[in-house]
Amino acid sequence: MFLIFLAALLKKANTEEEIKLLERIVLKDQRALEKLYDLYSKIIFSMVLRIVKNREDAEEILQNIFMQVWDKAGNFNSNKGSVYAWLITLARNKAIDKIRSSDFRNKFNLSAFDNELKIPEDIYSGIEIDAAIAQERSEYVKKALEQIPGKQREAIEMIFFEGYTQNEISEKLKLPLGTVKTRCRQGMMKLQNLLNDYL
Amino acid sequence: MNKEKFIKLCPLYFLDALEEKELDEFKKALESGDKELLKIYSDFRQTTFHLPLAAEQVEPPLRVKQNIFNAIKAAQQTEKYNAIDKLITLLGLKNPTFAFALSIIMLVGLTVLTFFVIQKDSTINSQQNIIVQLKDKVQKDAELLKILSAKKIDVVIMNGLEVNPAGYGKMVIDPVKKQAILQVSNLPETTSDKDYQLWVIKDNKPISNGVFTISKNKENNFFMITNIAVQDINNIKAFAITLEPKGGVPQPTGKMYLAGNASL
Repeated sequence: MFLIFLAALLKKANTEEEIKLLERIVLKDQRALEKLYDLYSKIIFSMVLRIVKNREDAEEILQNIFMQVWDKAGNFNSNKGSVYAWLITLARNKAIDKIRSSDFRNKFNLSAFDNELKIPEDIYSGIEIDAAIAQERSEYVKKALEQIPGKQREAIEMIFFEGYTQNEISEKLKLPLGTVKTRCRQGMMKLQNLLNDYL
Repeated sequence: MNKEKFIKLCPLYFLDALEEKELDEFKKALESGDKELLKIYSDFRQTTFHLPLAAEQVEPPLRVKQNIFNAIKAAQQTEKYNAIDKLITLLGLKNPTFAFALSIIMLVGLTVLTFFVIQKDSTINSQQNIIVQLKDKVQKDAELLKILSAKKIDVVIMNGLEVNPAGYGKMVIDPVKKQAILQVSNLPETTSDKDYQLWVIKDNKPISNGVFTISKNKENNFFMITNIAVQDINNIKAFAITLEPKGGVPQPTGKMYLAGNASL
């Protein structure tokens, strides 16, 4: 019980520290940007590289993301999620834009990562991930994903890491759309259960 | 929307896999504020944000960080130049006629400013001179008072002689410290080539005890004699003042203006 309380306290402190870093970046403090870069560049670069599959493009996107953070840190709203969520959303959108711009695939909506919904802000309190937690959980997430049946994992990865829409998956894998949806849904539900067991 | 349907739609929402109609339905359900649905939403959101961690962790090369900070530096430099450029444009300095007129105005302004600064400087100098003079006077007065406050003092009166009968003088002597105050009145002003010279008469021989000048419009003049020029002042017979060439002479050559016998 004490350990859970301690972990919650540490998590809160890390999240608050990251918010303070962004506040300093708004005031054009380069050291704060450097600290934020050191915390998140590896996680972001890894995800972007997985999506764009090209080191040069991934480096360019990583640079653009932190330039955007430098210019628009004031846009971050801590009531709508953690710094981690904000950066991951920025990074994934840029990476998907990149592969889409050099791809024939149709555009699709990324609203789920854009915080466009009118959701009560208090639902985010105490549930968010920060840099320290993310690094610590990376192995658990990989293990959890490996335990999901291959077809479900494939569907999730094609959408999340390759920017495919369900229709495109349906065409590519020659499967009914309903089957693709079911695979995605069941895969996500299993992942959630597995993560709950691990974390 | 019931809970079961919401649970079916929620994972697809986070994978951007909802049809338009489903998405509208989902948003409405979420915006209703149902706490149970919000909790389901929040849990799936958390799961989705764990997905990026499944990517193989790779360190980005150092050059990316360097590029970021170089780009920031370059942008800041550009902003600085733009600000200067805006200022130049705002002041109209890009228009040669206006720039010329502005430089003339600034030159005139600078000249006027310099003039005032010089004038102010001169006032300050003259006030500083007055302060020095006043300090000097205060110091002299303090020295005179010191002699007057001595336990024993001797006074020798000097009267005006034939050349200037209206003149008179006084020696107030501290015999212990061999110091004195010389006060002279009604002596004619000295010219630039002349000085009055004070003589101590001992054994019928005059010994020079210094020179002084008399300035215009000053009825009484006081001089401090820091050392009377004889070893034994008890043998002094008299004091006398003559008008001599500038700087004084070894033996008196000019007319005697004041003289007084001493009985010390």
